[in-house]
Amino acid sequence: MPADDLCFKTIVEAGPLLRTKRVSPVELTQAYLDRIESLNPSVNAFITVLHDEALTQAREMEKEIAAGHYRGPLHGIPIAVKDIFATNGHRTTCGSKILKDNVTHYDATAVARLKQAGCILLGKLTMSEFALGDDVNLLTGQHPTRNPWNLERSVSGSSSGSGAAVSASMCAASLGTDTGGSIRLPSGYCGIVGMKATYGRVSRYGVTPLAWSLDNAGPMSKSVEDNALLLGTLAGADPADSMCSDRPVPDYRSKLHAGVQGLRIGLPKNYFLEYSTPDVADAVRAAARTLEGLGASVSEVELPHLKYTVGAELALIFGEPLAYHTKYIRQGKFDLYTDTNKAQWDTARYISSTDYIQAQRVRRYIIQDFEKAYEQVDVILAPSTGVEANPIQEDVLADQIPTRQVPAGNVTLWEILWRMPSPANLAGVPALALPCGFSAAGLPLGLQIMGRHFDETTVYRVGAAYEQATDWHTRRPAVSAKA
Amino acid sequence: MAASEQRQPRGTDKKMRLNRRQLLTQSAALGAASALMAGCPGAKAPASPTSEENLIAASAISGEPLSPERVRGMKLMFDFTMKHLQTLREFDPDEAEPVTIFRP
Repeated sequence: MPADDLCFKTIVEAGPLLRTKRVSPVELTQAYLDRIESLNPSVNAFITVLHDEALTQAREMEKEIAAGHYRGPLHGIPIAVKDIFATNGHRTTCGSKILKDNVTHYDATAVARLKQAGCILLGKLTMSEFALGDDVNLLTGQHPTRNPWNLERSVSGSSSGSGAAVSASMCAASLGTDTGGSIRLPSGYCGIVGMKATYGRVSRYGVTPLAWSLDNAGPMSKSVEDNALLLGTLAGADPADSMCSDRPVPDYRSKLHAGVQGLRIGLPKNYFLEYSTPDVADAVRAAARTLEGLGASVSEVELPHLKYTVGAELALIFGEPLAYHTKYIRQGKFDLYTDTNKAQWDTARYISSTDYIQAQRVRRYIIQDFEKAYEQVDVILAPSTGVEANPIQEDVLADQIPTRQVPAGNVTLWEILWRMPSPANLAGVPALALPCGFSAAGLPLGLQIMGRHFDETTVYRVGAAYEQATDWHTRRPAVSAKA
Repeated sequence: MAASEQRQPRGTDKKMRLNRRQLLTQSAALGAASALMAGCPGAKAPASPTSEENLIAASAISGEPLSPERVRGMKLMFDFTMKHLQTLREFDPDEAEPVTIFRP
């Protein structure tokens, strides 16, 4: 089988090939390493490539499988992780000059669980500095991560490399983090599947914090089923993360083929579509019609407190990190941050304790909005990004904020990109991003499916039904074809 | 120096002293003149709460006074954030027992 064809396979497709020894973990790992070598100079998704270590791991996995010790569907699968996850014996830079030489000596719980399941670590992925800010990676000489669908377009952030690497088939799947959309925005821009699970579902132990009360770790993948498989491995109690839930972890794949007959889909009346470009809004409405055609019912829902969302998100996502980063600022390292983070830390000085408390207070009301909506519907559909991937230069802080024309008027890109993902972060509900179409410029458009707390199973069920009814996930960016 | 040129303590010359009524009248006139001048081109308006100098002064309270360059560097982010914080500040559920701890 040609090496690139191996890299294009989903985990669920590659797993049986590995189990039946038709493909070896070494062969698969080598195929990904070759692809990384070929594409990373243009895409810039990897900060660190663990070439030798990955091959050593792959040989061990090969021996285990040959000896009949098959660990399960992730055994021998090459993955990569955002450089915010601690990994034993490697640099963990958080995409910052401040931590450029920071070597960690343990694995984050999420990484340890994937390794235990037999995953092979290919390397560490680029990210917006400290998971917040522009997507200019200072460690690699100001080169931003580039969108495989169009190298002049942004990947968004903050899990930039995690989105680009999966989209360009430089790894089978990746880990990202999501505090205000950092899994779902790059998933939407890159046309892949990303899950921000219920707050507390996945341990954050070993993940450098951004905002403690909002942070999530989660999987990014080529398909819904791969994502469900990964979350099933990642989720579960961890005494090392006090906010990690000890609820039992269900089999997220159990209802992937159950269809949506009888399920109730909600489309928000307010907040989302009025701030999305027409192509995105049309694609989301079309997704609802597709699900309706599969037997679900669709109705409108109202989430009245969402008007406070962006203010609350900003109060928390700027306020909490300033407490963490004050140590570096006091050490005289302020000038090492990106311009965007400098602006964010300085802005955070003017967020009062009252603002912070108001933000935490409003979250209860947003949660109640969702709970009330979930009395009428099982999941809620919304755009994951609201726009197609923006030109890279618009990521850099300049004199003006770029704007887009949406039904609400000519609004800033920031307004749109903060608005779409933040409700699920504040409410702590699960939200799955997946592709739902392409723009006239040939760029992916993103859908998000939000569900009840800890009901990722229904979210995946709806996502899988939609994915099976459409072909968006089967398209590959041209950068792959050139390799 | 001649005696007449020597400075007198203020208010000791009865001819120069203002009574309370004159003081109030003249203050009001001065206030009106200031208000008129403020509307004139080139007049300096009172500094807004988010003027550069006020932001620098306010930042000192947080422990690190920002330089004018840093205030200018954050301005877009600051304005965007303040616009949304203003909306957040209007949130008033009038609850008896505010719930401030996030619990999913």
